[in-house]
Amino acid sequence: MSLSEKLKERRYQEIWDQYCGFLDLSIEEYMKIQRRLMEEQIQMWSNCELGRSILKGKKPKTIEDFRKMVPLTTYEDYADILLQKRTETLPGNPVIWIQTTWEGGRHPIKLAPYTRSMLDVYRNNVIACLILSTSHERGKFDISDTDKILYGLAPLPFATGLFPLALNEEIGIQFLPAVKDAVNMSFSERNKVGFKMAMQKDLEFFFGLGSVAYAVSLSLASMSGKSGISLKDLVKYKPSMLLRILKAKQRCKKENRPLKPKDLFRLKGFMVAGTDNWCYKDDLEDLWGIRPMELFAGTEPSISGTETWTRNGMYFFPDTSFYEFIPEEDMLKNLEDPSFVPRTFLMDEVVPGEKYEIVITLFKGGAFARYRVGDTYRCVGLQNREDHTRIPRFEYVDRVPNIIDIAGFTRISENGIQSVISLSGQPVTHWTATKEYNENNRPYLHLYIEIERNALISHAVTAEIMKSLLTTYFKYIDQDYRDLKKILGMDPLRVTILRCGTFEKYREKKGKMIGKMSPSPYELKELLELQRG
Amino acid sequence: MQSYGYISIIALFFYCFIFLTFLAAKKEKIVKHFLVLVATMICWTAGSVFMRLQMFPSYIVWYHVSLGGLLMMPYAYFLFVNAFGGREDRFFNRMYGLLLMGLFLINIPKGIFVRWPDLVMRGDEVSFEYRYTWMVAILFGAAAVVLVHCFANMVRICRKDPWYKRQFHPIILGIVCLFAGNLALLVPVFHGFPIDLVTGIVNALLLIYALLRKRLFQLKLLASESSCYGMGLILTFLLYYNLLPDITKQLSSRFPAAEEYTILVFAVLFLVTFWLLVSLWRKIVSNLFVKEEEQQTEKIRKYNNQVARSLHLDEILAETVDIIHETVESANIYICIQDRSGGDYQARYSNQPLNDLSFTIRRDNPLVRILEKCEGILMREFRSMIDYKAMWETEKRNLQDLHIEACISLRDEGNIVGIILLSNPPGNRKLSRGDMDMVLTIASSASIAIKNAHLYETAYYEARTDELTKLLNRKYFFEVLNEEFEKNQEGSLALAIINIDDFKLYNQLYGTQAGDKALRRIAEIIRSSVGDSGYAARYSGKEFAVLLPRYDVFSARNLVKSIQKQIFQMTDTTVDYKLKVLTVSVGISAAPYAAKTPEELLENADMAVNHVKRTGKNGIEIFDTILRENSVRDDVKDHKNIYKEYESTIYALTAAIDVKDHYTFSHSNDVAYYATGLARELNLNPDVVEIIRQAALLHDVGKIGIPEAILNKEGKLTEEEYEVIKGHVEASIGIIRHLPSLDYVIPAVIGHHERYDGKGYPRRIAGENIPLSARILCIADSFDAMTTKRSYKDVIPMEHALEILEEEAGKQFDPSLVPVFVRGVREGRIKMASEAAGKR
Repeated sequence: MSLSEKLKERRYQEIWDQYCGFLDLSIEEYMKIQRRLMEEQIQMWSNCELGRSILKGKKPKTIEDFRKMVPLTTYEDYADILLQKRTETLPGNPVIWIQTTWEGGRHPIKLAPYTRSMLDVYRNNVIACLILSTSHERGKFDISDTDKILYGLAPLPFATGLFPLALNEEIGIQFLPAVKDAVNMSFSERNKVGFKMAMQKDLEFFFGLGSVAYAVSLSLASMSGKSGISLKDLVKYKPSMLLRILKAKQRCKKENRPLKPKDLFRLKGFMVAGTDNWCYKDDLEDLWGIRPMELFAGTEPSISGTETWTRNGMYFFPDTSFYEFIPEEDMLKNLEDPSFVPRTFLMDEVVPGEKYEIVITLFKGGAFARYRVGDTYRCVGLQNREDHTRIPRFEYVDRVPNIIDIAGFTRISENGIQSVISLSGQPVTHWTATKEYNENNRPYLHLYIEIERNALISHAVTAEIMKSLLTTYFKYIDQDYRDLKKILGMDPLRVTILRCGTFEKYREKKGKMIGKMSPSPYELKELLELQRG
Repeated sequence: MQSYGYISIIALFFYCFIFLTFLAAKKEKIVKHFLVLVATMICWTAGSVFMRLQMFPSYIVWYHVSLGGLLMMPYAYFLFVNAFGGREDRFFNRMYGLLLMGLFLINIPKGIFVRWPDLVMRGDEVSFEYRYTWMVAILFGAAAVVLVHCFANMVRICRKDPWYKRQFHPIILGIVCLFAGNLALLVPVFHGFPIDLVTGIVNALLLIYALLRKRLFQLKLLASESSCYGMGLILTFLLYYNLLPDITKQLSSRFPAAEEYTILVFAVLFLVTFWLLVSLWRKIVSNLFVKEEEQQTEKIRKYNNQVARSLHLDEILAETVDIIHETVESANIYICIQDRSGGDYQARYSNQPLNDLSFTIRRDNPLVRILEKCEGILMREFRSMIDYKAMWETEKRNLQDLHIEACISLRDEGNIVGIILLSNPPGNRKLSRGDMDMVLTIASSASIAIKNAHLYETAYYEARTDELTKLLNRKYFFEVLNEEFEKNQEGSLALAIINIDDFKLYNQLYGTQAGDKALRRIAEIIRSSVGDSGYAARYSGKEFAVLLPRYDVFSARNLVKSIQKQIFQMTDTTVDYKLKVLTVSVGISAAPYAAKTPEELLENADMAVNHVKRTGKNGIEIFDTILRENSVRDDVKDHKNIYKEYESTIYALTAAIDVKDHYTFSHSNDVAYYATGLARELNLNPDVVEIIRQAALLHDVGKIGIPEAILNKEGKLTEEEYEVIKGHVEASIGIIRHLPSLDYVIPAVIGHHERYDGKGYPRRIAGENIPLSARILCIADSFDAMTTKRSYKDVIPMEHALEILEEEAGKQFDPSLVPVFVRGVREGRIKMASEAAGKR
């Protein structure tokens, strides 16, 4: 029986148990699910060509064997098989291939196969998110078959495009604009059309990347700010919406403030995904009058976690993948010395307060095993009195330090920055890059560079020139960076030229060079202080 | 007045008839709006009649009723047309309603726009005198606006879907008549004659005609048969009640003699009318209230039109799945299409975009056999048939997992070209025979459309695709090149030509099959790397072209570098030994930087490739050499001398053979001599000659492991012993594979006991699939075995041995190599090994 039918029959308790029941699990029960599904996956994965190519003759029988025998993997380990879509070598039969950019990879894109069983799990978890986004307490939620959702994310072949398809298998929620129309539209077109439809028909849900949701929300305000609704369009408006628009405009005029989406819509649920969401959540809440619920999804891990009505920490779904956690200490050590093999801990071994890099093994015939997604989380608690859960709760911290992710939009790697610098042809001798936040809490990439002493006579190298040159080349090598400017209207680069010899001085003092990617704030502070001496 | 009375009563009667008919229908939006339309007509006519009859309460009231009906009629048409065309004009729907109703209400108290007529009595004759002012224009102007808008909507609807055009014809005609009638009132000829009501009747007839042709809309019947008799009775009664005085009067005046039979005549007339009415009603009901299947027939007709127009397979499949979903309501629908070679049925399309389409129904599946006989079958019937017993468990489970409940074949003259699989509709409904029939109807038209589209797509695909690599072919590539060059005049366009180094050698070493496989792998790498950002084509036998719109030299080089690296790292995991590494020479040229025409672009890339070839292969050259790239070169040693380096290893191994079995040692040396002799006769590349020599020296290295007793046994070997001997080939490979640097000899060694006719061992491959080096070795090996003395046999003279070779050409030996070898020996260029060794 589909969700629609259950909703029709008002079997709310059953719905809640089916989709959100994982919140009631004890950690032992949670681990039982993890272990059983992992056993199934070990079988499938070890017996396929992909698995054998990584196992190199070893045959794991238990989960412990598996963790010992399978090294931690990155996309590089799968690239040959996955990029050529060699389905016969995979543990499960892919129904669809999902695509994303491969930051600093040898190929512009990454492909990830999804089996039908993975999609089933994905669908159920997406529904769980939808339900939880509307709930204010356990077992209470408000969704219906006729709801409408504004969807500020990319269509297939990107992972976000799965969301509407999976959802519509179970419930008739209407996407604004309809998926089949949306695929042929550009991002801004999609938002414009979606919002226009929302103005006419009302809106119950909104889902987008935090940063994009924010950009869209602002454009909504400016779009609705324009007074003109043409007579021709007037027909398409629901009278109640017309009334609401009129009222909202009047109110805004009275309060002398721009129109906000919350004046027009009473959202039931608001979901955001991606990185840097914390910088946008407050603003989004102010704009929409409801605090967004964060969920965690990606191309390789599919949808793996969600917040609840407390909006205070995420829970990982027990049936998406097997989770292992690399403690921060080991992660950093491994970054410095790639030959160091970091330890991993399981869900029942995490410690509150500790920061971890996540490692996943997909269930249900997924390709990735012990895969480093490149995200870090902090465990914020093992139990929660607020929502009465007994499983660990996490908050998203950021990408791993060797990748700088700006607003969930682009991922910049050391290779990327290096090739931008060499393409620019500027006499940069040393550099280090880190993500910082401006006064409005918006993220940007801060590049600290040092120029070759002798070149200063022959080159014009102000920070301004460097910034515009580097921006040009970032846009050249990175499509997402281009979109950052185009879609979010943000300029995410800041360049600081350090005094000649500073990096060298640092090396003399500390005995090693400062890390190129995301050095710690203390290291950076020390570097900057060395300029003075 | 007489004619007026008849006409208005008849018109009223028709309207009531339609109204009552539709009251019995399920109240869908379209039906409701149609009822509103008929209601306005009734108001108009009834008001007019009752006004003339000055019925209670007063003629003015009836005048308003009539005017209201007339005013609201355009609005009702507007509603109805919108509902019929599926348009959502929520705003105008309400606005026009309010506007016209408002005007009407304002007019009531004082008749601002059009005042009620004055009643003029001229003797018995009653007439009405109207007085119009310009204000009337406001009232009818508003109605006209609505009507014009209604027409505009109709045009829009028809333009969107021409199917509606025919459906609207009678309605439009009706409206035209109606308003022509109203206008005609102003023409003096019609003075006193109710031409408006006559045209009203015409309009009603047209509506009924539209209904009778069952084109207008389809309804679900709610009323029963008996209600149809009841209604006929009521209507007839009403009709005769009204007409009674007139008819009696007419009868008595025209046929005074018949006066006493009035009641009888009347009763007969009543009965006849009743009978006519009931049969008309029945006809309408059976035509109009079509059963669901007939509703579906209409949909299918539309579907047929649509698929007949398309040649795109996916479009047709999508339409087919949609129509099945609409008519049968199956939750999951799959269409499997037979692959191009007429083999198995591969799932190709489903109504749910995320459904698994990776399954295949084998051609020999019992289900297919059943479908050959009966076109379509329900799974629950199939399960009880004898053929079901032949289903594999996996096949059964597969269908169960997909919840398949019915299978329908798509046919092309008796051949099954595809299969439609259906699951049950959601809820508790199960697929019925009726559903099956419906899908069969769809399948029959789908079959033709699918066949045509399939043919078209195959032709389209074949004309543009290289058969082996599935990349674009050369011819189509030139087309694309010219197109893209034109398109990217303002931007940039990069072209890379990727040429495989020493591919001939590769083919000779491992056979053409392995060569083709390598080509396919390389094509796959190129395709996956280029993706959507450009075009990949097979430019010539061992050359690929990559066209990259909007790429400059820098990005093109990066992409090509990645391709080059992947090809270099390519390994064939289906064979248990490592194949020679393939490298590529790449030339890149880009417009506008270095070319102004497509021809120049191509020429430049070609020149760049040639340059790499001349300067040591395995590199990337950019035309107009600003950048020179030889990145991967460090990874491979200069292949020119590569094979000489392993001499010492080979010596060590042959020495080991010598210790164990001197015969094998000298035999190996002899075979090496004959094999290189043959290779030279064939003018093979010196590298290949060297590889063949080394392979010959090592070809029997596996015999180290065979007991001497068997090796030197006099007389015939037992079967078991023969098996042991046969095992030496694998044993040889077992030894050589541990020397990764020597694995290039493996194909020759592993294949030297294969026979040209495929009856050899260990792999039983035949013909050109046996690597050339192995075929050479086979001749050399056999020739030496025949011409030397063994413990179990005598020497066969050279000439006889050559004859045996010739006899066996095409059976054991490659028929194209034997004559070359025989000629070489006979003409003295290849001497007997013993002789040659003496000289050496």
